Amino acid sequence: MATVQVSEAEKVYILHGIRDDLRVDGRGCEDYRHMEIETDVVSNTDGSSKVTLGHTVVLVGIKTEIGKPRPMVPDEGYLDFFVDCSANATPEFEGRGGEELGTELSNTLYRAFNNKHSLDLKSLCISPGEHCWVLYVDVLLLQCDGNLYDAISIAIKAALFNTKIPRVHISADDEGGREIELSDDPYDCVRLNVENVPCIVTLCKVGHRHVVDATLQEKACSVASLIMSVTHRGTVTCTRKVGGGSLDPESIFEMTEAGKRVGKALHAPLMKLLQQEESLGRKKQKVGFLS
Amino acid sequence: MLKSKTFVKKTRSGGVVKIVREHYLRDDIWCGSENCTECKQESAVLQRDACIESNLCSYPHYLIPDTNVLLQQIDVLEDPVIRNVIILQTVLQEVRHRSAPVYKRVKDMIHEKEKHFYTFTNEHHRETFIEREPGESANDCNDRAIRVAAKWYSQHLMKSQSDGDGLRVVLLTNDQGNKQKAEESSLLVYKCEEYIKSLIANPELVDRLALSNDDKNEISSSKVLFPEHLPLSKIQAGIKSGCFLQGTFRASRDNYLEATVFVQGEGEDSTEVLIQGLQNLNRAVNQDVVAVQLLPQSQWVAPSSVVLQDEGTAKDDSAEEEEEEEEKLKISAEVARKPTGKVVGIIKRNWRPFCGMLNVSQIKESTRHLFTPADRRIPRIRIETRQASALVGQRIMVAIDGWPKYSRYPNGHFVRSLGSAGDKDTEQEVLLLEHDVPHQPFSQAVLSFLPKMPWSITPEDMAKREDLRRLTVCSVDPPGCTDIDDALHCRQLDNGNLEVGVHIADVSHFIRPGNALDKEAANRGTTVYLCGKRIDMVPELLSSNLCSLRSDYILKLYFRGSWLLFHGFNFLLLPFFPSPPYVLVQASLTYAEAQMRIDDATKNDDITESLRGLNKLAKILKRQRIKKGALTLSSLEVRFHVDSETHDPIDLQTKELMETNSMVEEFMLLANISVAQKIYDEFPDCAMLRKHPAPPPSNYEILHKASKSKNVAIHTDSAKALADSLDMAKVDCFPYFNTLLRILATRCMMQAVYFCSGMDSDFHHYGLASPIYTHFTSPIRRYADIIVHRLLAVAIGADTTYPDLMDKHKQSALSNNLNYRHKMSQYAQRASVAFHTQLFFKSKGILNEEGFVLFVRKNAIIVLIPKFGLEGTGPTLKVEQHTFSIFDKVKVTISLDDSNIQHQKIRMALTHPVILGVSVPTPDVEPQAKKSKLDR
Amino acid sequence: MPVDTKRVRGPEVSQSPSLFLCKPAKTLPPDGLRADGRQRDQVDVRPVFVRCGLVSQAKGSAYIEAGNTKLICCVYGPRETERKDETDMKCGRLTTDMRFTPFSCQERGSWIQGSHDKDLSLMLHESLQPALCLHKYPHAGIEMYDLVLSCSIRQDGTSYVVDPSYMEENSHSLVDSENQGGLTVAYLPSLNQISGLQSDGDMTEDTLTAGVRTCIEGCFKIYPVIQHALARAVRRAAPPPSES
Repeated sequence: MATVQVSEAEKVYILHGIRDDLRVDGRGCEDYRHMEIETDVVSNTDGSSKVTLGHTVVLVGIKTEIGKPRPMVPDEGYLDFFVDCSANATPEFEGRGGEELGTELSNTLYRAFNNKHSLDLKSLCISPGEHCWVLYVDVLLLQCDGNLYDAISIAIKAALFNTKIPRVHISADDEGGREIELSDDPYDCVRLNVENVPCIVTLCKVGHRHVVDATLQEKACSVASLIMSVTHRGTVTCTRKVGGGSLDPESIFEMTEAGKRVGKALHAPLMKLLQQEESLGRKKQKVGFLS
Repeated sequence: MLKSKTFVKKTRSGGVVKIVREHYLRDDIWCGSENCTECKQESAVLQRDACIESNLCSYPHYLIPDTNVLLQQIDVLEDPVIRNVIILQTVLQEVRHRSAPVYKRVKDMIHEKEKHFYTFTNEHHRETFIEREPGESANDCNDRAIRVAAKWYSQHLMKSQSDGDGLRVVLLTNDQGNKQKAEESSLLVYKCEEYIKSLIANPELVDRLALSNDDKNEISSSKVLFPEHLPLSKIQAGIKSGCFLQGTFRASRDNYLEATVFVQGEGEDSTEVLIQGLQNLNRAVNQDVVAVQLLPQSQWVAPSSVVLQDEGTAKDDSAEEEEEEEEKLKISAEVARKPTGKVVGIIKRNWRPFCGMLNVSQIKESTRHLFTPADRRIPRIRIETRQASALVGQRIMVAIDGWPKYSRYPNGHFVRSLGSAGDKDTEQEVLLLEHDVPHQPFSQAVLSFLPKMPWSITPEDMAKREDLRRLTVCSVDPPGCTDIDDALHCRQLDNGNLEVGVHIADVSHFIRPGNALDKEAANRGTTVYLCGKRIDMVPELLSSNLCSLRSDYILKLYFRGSWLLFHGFNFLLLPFFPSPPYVLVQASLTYAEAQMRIDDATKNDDITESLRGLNKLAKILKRQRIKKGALTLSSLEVRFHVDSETHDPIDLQTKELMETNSMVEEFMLLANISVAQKIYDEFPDCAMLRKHPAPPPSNYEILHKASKSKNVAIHTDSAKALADSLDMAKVDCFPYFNTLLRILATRCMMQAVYFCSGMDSDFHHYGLASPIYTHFTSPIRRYADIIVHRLLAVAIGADTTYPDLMDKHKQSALSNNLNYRHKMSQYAQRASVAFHTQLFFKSKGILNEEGFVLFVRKNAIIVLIPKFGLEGTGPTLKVEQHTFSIFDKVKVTISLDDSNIQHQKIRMALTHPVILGVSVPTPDVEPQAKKSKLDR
Repeated sequence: MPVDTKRVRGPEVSQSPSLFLCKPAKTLPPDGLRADGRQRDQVDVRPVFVRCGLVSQAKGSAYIEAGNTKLICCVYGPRETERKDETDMKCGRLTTDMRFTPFSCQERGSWIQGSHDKDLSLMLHESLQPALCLHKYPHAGIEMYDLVLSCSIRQDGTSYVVDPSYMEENSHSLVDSENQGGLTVAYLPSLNQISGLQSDGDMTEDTLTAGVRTCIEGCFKIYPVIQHALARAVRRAAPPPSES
C-alpha cells in the first residue's frame, strides 16, 4: 500500500482521537467514507463498474469467454482475478512495483470466492467437460487512498451484478461435434445472482480500538489489520491478518464481531442501489470518469 | 451525437466476443426532394412533381419500397416509368446481404439520373435513428426503422407545402404485419401488387410482377411433387463428412429427364454422376451448384440413348406420364451403368434471364402460361401475363423466381420482349444472348480512349521504328474482309536467299493496358463472326481502319515481322528487330485474286513475284509439317450467297480451299510458333500459350467403329500415325469416304485452349504437331494475341511491362475467360449458320439429295449431306427392322419443319433405301432419282 | 534447467493420471474416526519430529516432519540490504520465501514460484514479523520475542478436525452444510498474541471464534516439543561450560 510519512506527534493525535471514537475527518469508528458506484462504464466489457471510496478509485471490468473447465471440476465454470496496480495510483507502482500488491490482492480475492455459495459456478457450465463460461475479472486501481480491499470487493459485486452473459445453446451436428449457437438478440442474456457475493471489510487496529475504512494516515498508525469477507447472511468466507504487528486473541474476536456487523449492514443498501440504477435503464445518465 | 451499437459475435475458434461500434448521428442529412425548403441541399434528386398516373394515388408522391419488395420486384422497379423512389439505407444494406446481383442492379438504378432514385441514410439521421428494443427481432427492428423513416418523410415534406394537395410518401410493402402497423401510424401504405395494378397508364408492368409467396393459394394441387431441399447447414455437414458430393449440374440437351453432375475431384479429374428421373433431378436447373447423394450401386443406371423432349402439358398432375417415360429409360445393360445419384439440395442457383417463346395455355381466360426456353437444357417456366395474345410469336425473355416443391414447373416473370420469332434480327439477338456474347455498343468511356481522327504516325514514332516502306507487302484475305491483321512480303536477296516477312498489325500501340478499352476487349475476348454480322472486339475505328492493313496508301504501324531467311529448303529465323517497323501495304487481295495472279503466267510485277515465292515456300513448309505429324482434318464449312436486297440467303455452298489459303496459313503458323518460343524463353512463368491436348483413346471409338465397318485400319497411337493412316484410308468406288473419315476424326479431337505457361506443364499442340504454340497473328480479333504482342514487345525491349502481365494467376484467369468466350463464339457462329440454313430451306420447299449415314442412334440416324454441309436427324427417321451401318449412302428429302418456331428443324425423310412404314415416296419435283446401290 | 532439445516431447496437453483413477469415496462421514485414527472435535495434533541445524551452510536451519509433510527451513543473514533506496534504514528487514518442490504434491508442480507459493510466503512473512525485534538491528544476533507456532483446523458442518491431513483439507464434502472452511492461526504463546490469521470457506462468526480458540490450544500442545528441540540444538552447538 502506498505509504505516508506520519510524525510521532500526529500518530499520538490520531490514536487519542480514535480512543474517543473520533477520527480526523469526523467519522465514527465504524463509518465508511462517501462512496459512489457506477456500473456499465466500459462498453466493451460484459460487465463493469467504477467505485469511488473517498479518494480511492477502483475500476472493474468483467469479460466472459468460453473456455475449458478445470479438470477436477468439469461441471463448473470459474472466475479468474487479476488486479492491476497501475502507476496512475502512486509512483511506487511504476513498472513492476505494484506487482506484489496486485498478487496479494488477487490471492485474497480467490480465497474470498472459493466456496460453493458465493457464486453459482454450476450455472456457468455450458457442456460438462468441454465448454464453460470463464469470467475474467480485471481490477484496475486508479487512485489509492487506503482501504483497497473494501473498494475492490464492492466494485466486483457491482460489476458481477451488471454482467450480461450471452445466451448460448449447444447443438449437436451430424458427426457428433458440438456447435455453439448464439442468439442474435443482443438483449438475450443471462444475469448472475449476486446475492451471496461477499464484501470485504478491513478493520485496522489503532491503539486499542479498531476502525473501519482507514485512511492512509490511520493505516500508518496501526500495527495490524484484519480483513474479513462477509456475506449478506453474516457468514464469513475469508479472514486474514495483514500487517507487521500481532493481535490479541480478544481483539480479534472483537474485530470479527464488528466486521460481521458492518459487513452485513453493507449489503442491503448496496443491492438496493444497484437495482435502482438498473431500473433506470436507458434513461440513465452516464457520468463516466469526468465527474 | 454518439451512439454505440453492441452485439455479440462468435469467433472462428468457437469463442464468443462482444463487439462495440460507434455510431454517429447527424442532423445535416438532406431529404433529397426538390420541393423541400428546409434542407440546405445542393442538388435535389427527387422531383417536385413526381406524378405517375395511378388511380390509387392521384397526387404527386414518392415511393419507399421495403426490402422484400425491392428484392422480388426488381424488374418492375427497373422500368423507366417508375421514378422518384426513396431507397432507405436499412433496405439497401439488407438487399446487399441477401442478394449481390440485385444489389448491383439497385446501385445501377440509383446512378441513373433519369430514374430519380434517392438513397436516404436513415440510420445516421438523428430523427430517424432507432435502437433495437429488447424482445424485438432483427426483422421487426428493420421494419420499424422503415416506418419511422417514412413517417419522418411525410412530416418533413408537409412542412414545405404551401398548398393542401402536396407531395406525399407511399410505403410499399408486402408484409401483412408491417402494413398494419404502418396504417396504424397513419402512413400511406399499399401492397406492391395493388400499387402496380393501379398504374393504369402502364398495364404491361403488371406482367413483370414476380409472384410472391402469398399469392400461391391459387394453385390447386397442393400435392408435394418433389422432395424437400436440405438446408445449407446440413448440406455442408454432409459434404464435409463425405455423404454428399458438390458439383455443377448439367442438364442433358436431348433428354429432359436426365442430367449429369460434374463433381470436381482432387486435382483435375472430375467424376460424373448421372441423375435420372424427375424426383431425382429435384428442381435443379442447368448450371446450378448442387449437392448430390449417390444411390446404392444396385440402383445405378446407364445414360439413355433415347432422345426425349418435354412435350407435357402445363398441368401439375401429369406425373403419371413422366413416370412412363422414366420407365423406358431404366432398361439398360449392366456394363453401361454409371454412378447414379439424386439431388438433395441446391447450394447456389445460377439463374439468368432466358430467351424463348410463350406456349399459350389452352384455357382461354387463364393468365398462366408456359414459357419454353430456347436452350433445351432449361425446363419450361410458368409465368403469369395478361398480354399473352400480344406475346404469341414473339421471342421473349423470362427470369425464374423460384421453384416450389409442389409445382411441376418453376415460376417466373416476364422481363422483356425481343421481337417476332423467325425475324432475322430477333433471332440474332436471341443467339447472342443465349451464348453470352457481349454485343452492346461500346460505351462512351471505351470510345474516349480511341485516338483522334485524322490520325497519322507521329514523327517520334517514325524515329523509333524502322522504316520498311521499301518492301512490297500485300495481304491476302477472304472477300469482304475489313479487319485485315496480317500481311506478307517476299523478296529475293542478293545471295540467293529469299527473305520473307510476316507483318501483323500493331494493335497494342492503340490499346494500352488497363484502360476501359482494354478491359472491354479483354471481356469480349474475341470477335464473333455471324452470318452477315460481325460483333467486334475492338471499336470499328481501330478494327477496320487504323489497325487494319488495308492498302490505302496510308502508313500503317506494324508489329514484328518474323523474319525468315530461306536458303535452299531450310529456313533460319532471324532475331526479332528491336523496334517494330512501319510499312506501306501495297495491295490487299482476296484469296481468289491472289490465286489468279499466281496462275497467270503473264503477270510479273513485284507483288506477283512475291506471291509466287511465298507459295513455293509455303508448300515446303507444309511438307515439313506433315512429316512431323501434323493433321489435316476436314470440317464442312458453308458459305451463303446472300441476296443483296433482302439479305436472305440465295444459295449455300461449301467453302473451297485454294492454294493461297494454305499459303497464308503456313506462314501464320510459323510466325505463331516462333513467337511462342520467344516469349516462353523470355517469360517461362507467364507466357500466354495455346495447347491442344491429345485426345484420350476413348474419344477415337467412333472413328475406329467407322473405319472397321469398311475394313480400313486407322492407327491412333500418335498424331503422325493418325495422319498417315488417314492419308491411306481409301475405299474403292467411294471417293467421299476419306473426307467423311476426316470429318469424323475432327469430331474426336479435344478443344484447343489458352493457358498460362506458369500454371501448366503440357504445352504440346497435337493437331499441329508442335511442341509449343500460341496465337500471335490476329490481334484485331483475338485478345490473346494482344497479350502475346505485349509480352513480345517487352521481350525485345520495345515496351514496358505492367504488373498484371507478369502475374501468372491473372493470366490464367484471363485465359480461362478467353477460352470461354472462344467456345461461346463458336457455338454462336454455328447457331447462326444453322439459322441461315433454315432460312434458306424455308424458301426452297422440299429438296431431294444424297447423303451418308454418319451416326446410328437407337431411334434415329444422323445423315450428312455433303452438298450443303448439312447434318440432320429427327424422330421421323426411326429405324427398327433395317440395320444401318455407318457411311451407308442414302437418299433423303430435305424440308424445313417450322412447326416449332423456336426450334425449326431440317426435316429429313428417307426415300432410299425403301423401308416400309418409314421412308416416304420420292417427290416428283426433281427427276434426279438415280438408282443407287447400298454400299456394304 | 535448460531444455533438452534431443528429448522427444510428449503431447502438448497432458493430464495427470490421477484424474482418470476411479476415486473411491474417500470422504469420511462427518462423525466417526478420522482416517489416521485421530479424534474429531478434539485437539488431536499429529506427533511432530523436529531437528535443528541440519543445513551446515545456513546460519540456522530446521527440519520438521508431521505425518507425511516434510519441510526444511533455512535462515541466512543478517546481511547487507541490496536495495539501498529503502528509506526505512532504522530497522532490519525480513524476507521470506517459500516453495514447493515439483515432486512434493499429487500433481507435478512447476519450477517457477506459483501464486500459491507466493501467498504462503507472504503469510509467513506476516506471521513472523511481529516476533522479531527488528528495531534492535543492526546488532549481531537476531532477537525474538517468542517462538511463533501455528495450528490449523478444518470445519465441516458442526464438527471440526485439528491439523487436517491433505485429504481432509481438500476433500469436498458431499453434505452441503453451513459451516465449511479452514482456519490457520499463528500464535506467540508466551505473549498471547496472534501474529497470523487466515481463514477461508464459509463460516459463521461464532464458529470462527471457537476455531481460533481451538487453534490456540493446539499451538500450546506443540510448544514444548519445539522448545525441546531448540534447546537440544543449542546444547549440541555450544555445550554448557559445566560439561566441557
